[in-house]
Amino acid sequence: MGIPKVLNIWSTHQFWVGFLTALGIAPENIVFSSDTSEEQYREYGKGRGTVDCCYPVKCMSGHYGELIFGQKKKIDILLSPMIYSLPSFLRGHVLDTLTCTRVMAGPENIKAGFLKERDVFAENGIRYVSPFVSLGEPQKVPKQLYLALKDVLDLSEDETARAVEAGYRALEAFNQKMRQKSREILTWCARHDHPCILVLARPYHMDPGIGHEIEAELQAHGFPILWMQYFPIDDDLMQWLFGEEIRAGRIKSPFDISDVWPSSYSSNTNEILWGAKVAARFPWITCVLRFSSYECGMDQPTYTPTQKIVEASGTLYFKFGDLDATKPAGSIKIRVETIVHYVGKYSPDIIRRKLAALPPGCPLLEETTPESAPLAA
Amino acid sequence: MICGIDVGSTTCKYVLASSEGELLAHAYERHNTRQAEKVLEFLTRLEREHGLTPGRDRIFFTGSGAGLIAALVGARVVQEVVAVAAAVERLHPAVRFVSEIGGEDMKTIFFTGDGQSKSKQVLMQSACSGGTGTFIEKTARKLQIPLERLAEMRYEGYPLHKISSKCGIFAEADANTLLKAGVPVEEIIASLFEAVVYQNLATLTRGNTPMPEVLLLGGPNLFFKGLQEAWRHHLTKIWKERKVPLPEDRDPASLICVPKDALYYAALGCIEIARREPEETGIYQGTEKLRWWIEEGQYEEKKREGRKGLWTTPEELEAFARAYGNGTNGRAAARLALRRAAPDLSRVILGCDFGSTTAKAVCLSPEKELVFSCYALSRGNPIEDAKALFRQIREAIGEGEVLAVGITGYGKDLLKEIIGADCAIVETIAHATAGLYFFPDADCICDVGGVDVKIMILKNGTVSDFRLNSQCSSGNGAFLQGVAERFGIPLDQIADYAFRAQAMPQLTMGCGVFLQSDIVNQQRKGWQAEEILAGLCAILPLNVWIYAGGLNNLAQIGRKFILQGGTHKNLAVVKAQVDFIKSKVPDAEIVVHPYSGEAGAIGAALLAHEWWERGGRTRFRGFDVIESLTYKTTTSPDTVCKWCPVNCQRSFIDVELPGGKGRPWSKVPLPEGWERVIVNNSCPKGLVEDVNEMKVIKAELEKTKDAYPNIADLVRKEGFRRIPHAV
Amino acid sequence: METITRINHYTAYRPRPFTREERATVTILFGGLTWKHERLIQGVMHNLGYKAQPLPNITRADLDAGKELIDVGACCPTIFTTGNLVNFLKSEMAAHGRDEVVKRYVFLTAGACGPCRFGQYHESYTMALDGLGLRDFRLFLLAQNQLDQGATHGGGLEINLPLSLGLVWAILCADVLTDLEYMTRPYEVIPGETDRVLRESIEYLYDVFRNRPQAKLRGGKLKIFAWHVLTDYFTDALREVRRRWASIRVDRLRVKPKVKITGEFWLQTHEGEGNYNIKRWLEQEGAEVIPPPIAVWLDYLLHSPITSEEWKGAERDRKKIALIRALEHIYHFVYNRFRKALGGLPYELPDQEELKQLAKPFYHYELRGGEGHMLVGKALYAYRHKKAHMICELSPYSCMPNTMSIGAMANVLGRYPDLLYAPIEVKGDAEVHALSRCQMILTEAKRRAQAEFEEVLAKTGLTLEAIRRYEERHPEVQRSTYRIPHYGYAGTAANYIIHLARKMGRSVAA
Repeated sequence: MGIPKVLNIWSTHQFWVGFLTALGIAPENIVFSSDTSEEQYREYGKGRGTVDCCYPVKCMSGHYGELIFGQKKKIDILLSPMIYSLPSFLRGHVLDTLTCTRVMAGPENIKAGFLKERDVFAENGIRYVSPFVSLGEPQKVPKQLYLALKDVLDLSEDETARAVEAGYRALEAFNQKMRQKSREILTWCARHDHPCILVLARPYHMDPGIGHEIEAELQAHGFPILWMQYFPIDDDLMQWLFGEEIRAGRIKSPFDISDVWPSSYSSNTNEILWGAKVAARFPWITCVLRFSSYECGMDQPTYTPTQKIVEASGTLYFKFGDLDATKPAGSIKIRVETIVHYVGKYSPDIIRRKLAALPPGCPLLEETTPESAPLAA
Repeated sequence: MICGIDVGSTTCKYVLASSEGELLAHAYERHNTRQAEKVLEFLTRLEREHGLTPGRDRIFFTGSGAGLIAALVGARVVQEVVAVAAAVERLHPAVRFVSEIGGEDMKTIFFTGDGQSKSKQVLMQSACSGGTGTFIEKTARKLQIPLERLAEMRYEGYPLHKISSKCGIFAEADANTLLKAGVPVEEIIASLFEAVVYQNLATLTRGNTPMPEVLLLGGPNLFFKGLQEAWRHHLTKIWKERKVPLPEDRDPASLICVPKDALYYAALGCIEIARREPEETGIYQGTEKLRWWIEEGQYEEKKREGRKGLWTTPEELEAFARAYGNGTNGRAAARLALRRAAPDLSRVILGCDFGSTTAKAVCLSPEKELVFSCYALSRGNPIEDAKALFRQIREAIGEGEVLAVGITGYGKDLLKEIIGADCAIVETIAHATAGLYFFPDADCICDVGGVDVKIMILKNGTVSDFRLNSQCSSGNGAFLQGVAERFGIPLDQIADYAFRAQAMPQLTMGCGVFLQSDIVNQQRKGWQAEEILAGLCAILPLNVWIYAGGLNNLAQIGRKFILQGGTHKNLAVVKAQVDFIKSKVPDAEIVVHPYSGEAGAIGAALLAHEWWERGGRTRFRGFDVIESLTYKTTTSPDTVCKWCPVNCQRSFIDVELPGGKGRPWSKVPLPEGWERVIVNNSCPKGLVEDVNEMKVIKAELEKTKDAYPNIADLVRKEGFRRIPHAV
Repeated sequence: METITRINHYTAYRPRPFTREERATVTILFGGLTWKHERLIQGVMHNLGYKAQPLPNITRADLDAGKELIDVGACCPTIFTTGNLVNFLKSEMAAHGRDEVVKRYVFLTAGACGPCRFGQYHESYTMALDGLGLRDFRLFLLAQNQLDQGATHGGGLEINLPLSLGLVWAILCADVLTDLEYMTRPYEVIPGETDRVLRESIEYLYDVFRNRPQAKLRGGKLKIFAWHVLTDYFTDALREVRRRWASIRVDRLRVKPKVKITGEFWLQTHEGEGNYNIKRWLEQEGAEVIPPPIAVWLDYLLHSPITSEEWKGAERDRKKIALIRALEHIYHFVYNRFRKALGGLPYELPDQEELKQLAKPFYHYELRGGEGHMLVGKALYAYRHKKAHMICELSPYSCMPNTMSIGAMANVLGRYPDLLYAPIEVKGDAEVHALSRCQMILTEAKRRAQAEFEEVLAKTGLTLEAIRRYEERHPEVQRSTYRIPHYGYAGTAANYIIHLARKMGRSVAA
């Protein structure tokens, strides 16, 4: 079973692992394609793209190709889900948690390049399966996956339902773990008054071929890096950051973003806006990195709002826009050096000012848990 | 008779044939943006020499510039790919794939099926310069390779390097970097051909396999031998990979054909189509209307469409010249802390800016007076540039003492150790520091260089925000310069030309490459070089502030704007900037930085001064050491970075330095008394030569990364783990 | 207590309410459709006592104005429509001053439909208002998939049944008239005739909508609904339009390829510089254009809940589905009445279920955003039923859903290589490229139209002279309102000849 490691697989990975494992597929038989790279695209995807579009979608043909042609052990099934909506922690506080229209339809677009002249899947003895799945509405998922997979995997409805549950559990466990880790990092920063950097991006910017590991260059300068997808959402922290605003009636809950983004349909967009609000408040986040891929239509309307939100509290905001296949190494270098200069120079002041704007009693400072001495990953 | 005329972006061609299709005459000439004039010349010639007769003979046009002209002479317009396809279908029935590369476009045609059901699919590129003739020529010009030589240069047998295939401006920068690293031009050009073919295949196949036989058309495909070789290499490789059945009796490379008269295919296709159309279509009406249009009509048309030039009244232009003209630069408004008279050079702080085109240096006195400045044109080797610069400094200060050295610019990392600089400062900060020093009340510094656009927004004397464009070429000077070059206008005369225009076309803000196609469009409407340049200058502020800078509301920034960078030496640009900023911020004060070119060096010197004041003692190696630097450059398969799949083609610059530790363990061994500087790596890993050195550095990096974790690392590591989960 | 104001950041735009009292003095601005649709909508609004005014036609200058004020990288419809509003407000401010503009106008637009950027238009509008210093200007977005939203926004605009039905009826009327326009103009004998009669007809229909009998707009919902569905009020008016239209003489022997327009909603509907006036351009290039009715989009919106509700299958949902199906029937019934009133000339609405099935192997019907699977479905529909020689798909530069379905079309073309398909990317400023691309495919379409025409001549054994003689004896066949049935040929001329051959008593198999 081959799964292209693209788009929202980057935030639902463990769902698929958990789901397939629960169906009895041996873990070693679940294969993800490798990280995106130009080489992968050149070697496996060249000439298979049917339309020019943003790189995160375009690169999918390289992933497909790698799974078809580049595996030592041939895969039997290529599973490329059309993920319509996502299980977001903001669900219930926003209008919807849909994916980008390109993200959900990407497989239909990419498969065309493999079917147009000849059926490349069939030629290589591969079954192509592309279930339409609304992961944001768990009650719909068992039936969707059952209908899409029953002929391929010989499933029963009950079995599918159980596996779906297992998938959600696995994903939840993973998210928990990441949030816990983020909390540890934040605690360390709080206790050492050390600045850290928050990344506002879509999940697939964690792919080294899409996000180009820009944040790692700042990490190398000694700044811990958090991603808003995994920011701790524990109640104590949320109350500290948002409590007064909730009590004042400005927002209904810590996860209410209607004050800044009324048309909250898109899952990743919502999370980015929420992340901006957190960054504006949390004292030890002194700098925000915003990544955005070339031609991203979902990000485009959010540029100004996120920046204005983040900068309102003096937090530094740096956008790396128009990311594409090639890593713009030279420009990244200049910008990273500049950012390091300013983060170093202004952080103490930013932390001080932001702390003053929040109520006393930061839960991270009051915790009795022993501090994790060296911040080992 | 039937005449087919192809009006392209750089040239015009005609083919004259009898009604039976027998060829009578043909020609191919450059039009230098005067498309209508060239067509008139052609038609006059055809009438005189070949008896082309209005009312009797038929005429068909094609090409990007055909639309307007055709209507004036009664011609029918045939879309160029339609025309080319018609010619190909007739002359080469076995062809399945055509690549036509033009000056500013590229197209592919795929033929499928046979006979009645034969159909074709055409793909055209219109979004960017990558993969076109201009792309090759632009870079070759930068490398100072004459066209004749370029035509003979080869592809086969050279090591290839990575060159951006997407954007001509970036490709040029890549080629420049390779050149500086000592890569032979032959290899660079081979890599350029590679980039062109890659770009064509990557963007213009859209899931189709280019099947044999193949036809390569258009100027670049015809003229550049190396490009043909690159095509042969890639296509035969694709056929092998995709197991395309080939005729056994033929060498695969022979299935790729470059016809000698390829340039005329579009015009020939016109004849072909004309013969299919009813006889009353496309009757030639003579040159009268065309003549009228050239002499009068185009101006009326333009007046209707365009806007006024860069100025409205001569008085306004004069007033502008008084404020910003030669030597004034709006300096009246600047309160300068500098003094040049009777400089005391006995104790100085040096600031150097090693940029991509020039290296600059300044000396500051301990009292922060600018006492000396000089520059050297970059000749592609940073060490040579440094020598040239320091020779000048030494001449000026003689026995004077160097208290501190600050260095900035692209060359800063490479040269820091070698000259023994005390501070290496990123350009942005250097510029901001210099700007704030001269104009403590500045709200914004806008630096438009050749490649970069930097906007620094200042609040309370510190930089609150900055914007860089370096991933997009729109709004920078290189683009303006590129257009001027194509018009044959020298860089320093752009402003003169632009101010001459009484009117200018309304260009659209946006990516430089889209602008390029917009320019072709405007040329088609008859706008002249100076008018287009004026239009470009006028659009530049929009590109700088809104498109590249993403700043919509200038009033929010403040009211004092500093313009600096090479592009602001162009007064037409300054005029456009002043008008633009004032239209958004009526009470704005706009100043052109008095030491615009040296701002980076001054900033570096100021920061070095700060360091010295805090008690720093310089590590400067001294003029003797720099003057006697011996170095050698190696770029070979042994210098390629293997740490990640990007495989940067690094270069090793080995410099003889007293106390150098050498690298006996290296694949490119280095004896003691030498230091190695690694360049052209794209990440810190690449600064490390190989495994031995890596071990140390890696431990160091890991230690930092462990101490300062990145959640994404964890996701990458654990998100795709396939351990069975408890169900 | 006021500690919360310590972090005071960007907040979303919230217009102050538009009150009932303001109705008499405030003009509602709207736009985004064709001038015909907008004029009839204005009639509906005037009928209900609102002051309403469509924005001026979109021009190239709107593109520049839009780009200047909104975030970089917006899609072209966003830029055009925002720029359009900006330029209008600017000129009004220059004439009457800022405060007067804020007092005098509100802007109303559709939006908030979900995943694509269309649902985030408000952000662009807000930025534009900020840029103009008009944050207190009022702008309202209406969810487009709800017919009856009750009174909202302070009651200034009451979204009730008379309004909703009026709008839908106006759109449908403009749609059928647009069909008529495009099938007549390429063949008109006296140039300009069609446009003249069209203008008169729209003005006439404006009055019809403006004068909707007030008595019929009061009372229970069911009563109002029933009146709209069953009355002859609108069909009589359309019959009058048909009478006027009959005066246009056409020459259907002109061989023209039929080009079906599909694409992104705004771009395909638009008639103007926003899409390079491509429909007019195609006509100049010798084509007959099949315009995209907005009615199909409304049908899609109506139909799509069925597919998502099917999952549950509970009794309650089955009822809901039944209700939607009933509404669909009524909708088609109304549309067909309008068509019939115009002599059956306007095209019928494609069956949504068929579009879904046709697209199924290529594009999943639940993938929302843009026109979803319809782009694939409509192309195949026209191809299968020989409704057009060629499909011209208008796709806005950087439109997200559109690029996906164009990609999927590659697969369709692999399977049906003879389907002529021209996806045209519209940036607003690269006219030459877009039009040449279209022309290329059009050349092939012309060839097919000609071949088809010659085939029909051969098959019927008719000569052009014979047809002309027949036309002289039977002038009614040259009337624009004379309906030519579809005999399985895409081209108008081919069907016309078959029709005349049959009239002449020749036995011709279709």
